[in-house]
Amino acid sequence: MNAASLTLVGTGGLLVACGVYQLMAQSLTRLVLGLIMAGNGLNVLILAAGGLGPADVLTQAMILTAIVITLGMSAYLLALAYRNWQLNGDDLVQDDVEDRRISRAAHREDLRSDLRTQRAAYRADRRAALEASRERRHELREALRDARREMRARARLQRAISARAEDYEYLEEETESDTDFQRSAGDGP
Amino acid sequence: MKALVPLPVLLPLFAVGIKFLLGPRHLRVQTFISLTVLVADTVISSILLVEADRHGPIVVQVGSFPAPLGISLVVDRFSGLMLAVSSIVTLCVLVYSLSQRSADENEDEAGAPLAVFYPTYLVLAAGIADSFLAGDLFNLYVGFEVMLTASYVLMTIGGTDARIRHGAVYIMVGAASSLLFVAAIAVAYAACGTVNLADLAVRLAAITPAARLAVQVLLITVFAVKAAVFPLSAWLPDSYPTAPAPVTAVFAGLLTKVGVYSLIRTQTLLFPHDRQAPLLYTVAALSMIIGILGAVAQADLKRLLSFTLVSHVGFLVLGLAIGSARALSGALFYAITHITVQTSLFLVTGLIERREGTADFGRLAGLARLAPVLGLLFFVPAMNLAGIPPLSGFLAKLALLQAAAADGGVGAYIQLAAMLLTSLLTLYAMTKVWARAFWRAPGEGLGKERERQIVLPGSSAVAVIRSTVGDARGIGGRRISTSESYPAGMLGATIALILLSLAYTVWAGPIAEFTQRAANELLDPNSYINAVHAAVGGAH
Repeated sequence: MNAASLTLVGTGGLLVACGVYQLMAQSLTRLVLGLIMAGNGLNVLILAAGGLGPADVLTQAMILTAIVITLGMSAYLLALAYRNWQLNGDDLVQDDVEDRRISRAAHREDLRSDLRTQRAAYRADRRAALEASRERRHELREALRDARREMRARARLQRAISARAEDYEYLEEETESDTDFQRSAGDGP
Repeated sequence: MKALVPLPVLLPLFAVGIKFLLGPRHLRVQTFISLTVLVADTVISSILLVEADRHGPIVVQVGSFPAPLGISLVVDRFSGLMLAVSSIVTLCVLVYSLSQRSADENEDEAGAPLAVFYPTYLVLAAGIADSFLAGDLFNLYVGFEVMLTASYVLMTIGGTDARIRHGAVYIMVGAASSLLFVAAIAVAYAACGTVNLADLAVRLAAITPAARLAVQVLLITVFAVKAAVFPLSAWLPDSYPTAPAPVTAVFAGLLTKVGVYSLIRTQTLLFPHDRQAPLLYTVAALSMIIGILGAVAQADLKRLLSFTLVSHVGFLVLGLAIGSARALSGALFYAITHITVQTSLFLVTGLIERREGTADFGRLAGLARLAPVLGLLFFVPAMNLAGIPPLSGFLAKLALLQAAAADGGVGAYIQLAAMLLTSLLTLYAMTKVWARAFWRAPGEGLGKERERQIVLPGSSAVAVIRSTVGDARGIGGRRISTSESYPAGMLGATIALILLSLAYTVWAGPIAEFTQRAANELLDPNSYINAVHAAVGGAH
């Protein structure tokens, strides 16, 4: 393999690579460009396949045919891109219908799982809040019970004190009368 | 006899020239030309088929140029069979589309699309015939391109939004696969110095296995895209349903089969000893299962049928993968059955659309009572597709099942399971359509008109909004005018194709014997190679 044919193969390969890269795009115009590039690259490769000796008529005939076909295809695709632009204002190639269905389903599933996590978080919050309030209520009830107990104890104490105080008053009265008596007895003649 | 061989390609192309000379007027002359050409095509193909069966392959060197420069056209039993069946199918679909055109009154106003439709249709027929006749790889490429370019025009005819959007995908996939085809030709030419199939068959045996494998894998990939074999099939169900009914019908019947034909032709002729059986087995099984699962998930009749198409191409590839005479014979029988059945199913779908304005079977209901003719016309090919005995689909599948069982081994049993499961699921999908569109009580579906009741805000009044949801469009891209009567041509063409598929059942014996002979011929490439070399010698 001499340098000239290596150059041909290299050029062809590079053109095909660039063309294939363009074919990955979503815009029809880019796709047409990719098609033309890759088509020309392949034509160069056919030329390389024929060798560089005396002109190979067959390769030239094949390349000419391929060029004509690519030309017609490009023209038709450009017309299509233009029509697409007329109708939709862009020249983008649409995604596959099944792909769209699948991606819609995936989107729905995403939304659903978002909803699920949100609901779970909300439930956890509410549960925590409930737990907290229950604890709080428990504490309050405890406090209330303590307070009542204390009040009752205080009331009991009060009652006890007052009862005792009555007793004491009574006693005091008794003793007072006694002392009065005693005093009167003592003061008496 | 040799003079007849190029005619299936030349006649339609000449007719197209005359049509363009005539211009858009002279509607009757135009119609007459189209019909005459396709009838002549059918007659010529039948004669060629009989001759090829009696006297072996007929080879013509176009223009009497010697082999490396001249183009060989070859009719052997396989290509003759495909040629004959395809010309009958194209003729029937032409009659159907002519009738649909005259039934859609508003279509004639569209003008331009229809002036393009019929010439393009003839170009399509020429391209298909050229692909079947091609005796060298580059002519096969040209045949494909003629066919595909015509199909691009038919796919986007009328230029409606949906057709442009989906047509763009179809065209890009077609163009990319054509690029790969050119690459395959370049590699084959670099390795062997010829593109003539017979010469290639001789010289490929002499080159290194690695280079041979490169050519083989490239060719398999190219034809797998055209035939919509599973990993490369996503484009098909997406683009076919948006085209007009007759276009979808002829595409579904013939275009993928041209891919399958080329796959079988190149694999048996060029690589008789090392066909990539494990690869073909795998993609065939995946095609069948995934395709039919896709069909089961659909709600639109056209999309469902497109998915069954992907699925049933798997059967044909499987026949090639097994590779025995019995398997190939079964595959050929199934190919012609499937062409006819799939086309007639799409034509019936077109009739349903004509009556109801839609093919969405969520909206259809009660057709069995409202239109019993449609019910019958749908039922017979649907059962044939599912492989219900005694129809020809069953006989062909039986041959494939027997071939797989005779092949033995674990792989063969997986194939058996895949085939049976696919047939069962096909039956399920067809039953689903039947139960929804045909068997429900009339009015249970959403119907032609969608009624929506809206409570007006601020009052108790109820507004009923009626909207016609018929989404089916005619050839020129306008909405089709629905009617309860069936145009005679549409009905007649559909019935003719269904009768053809029934004829395969009645004459299954002779046809099976013929496909057996064709399969034997395919398995012995020498008869093909010798015939071509003899003709080339004669041309010197």
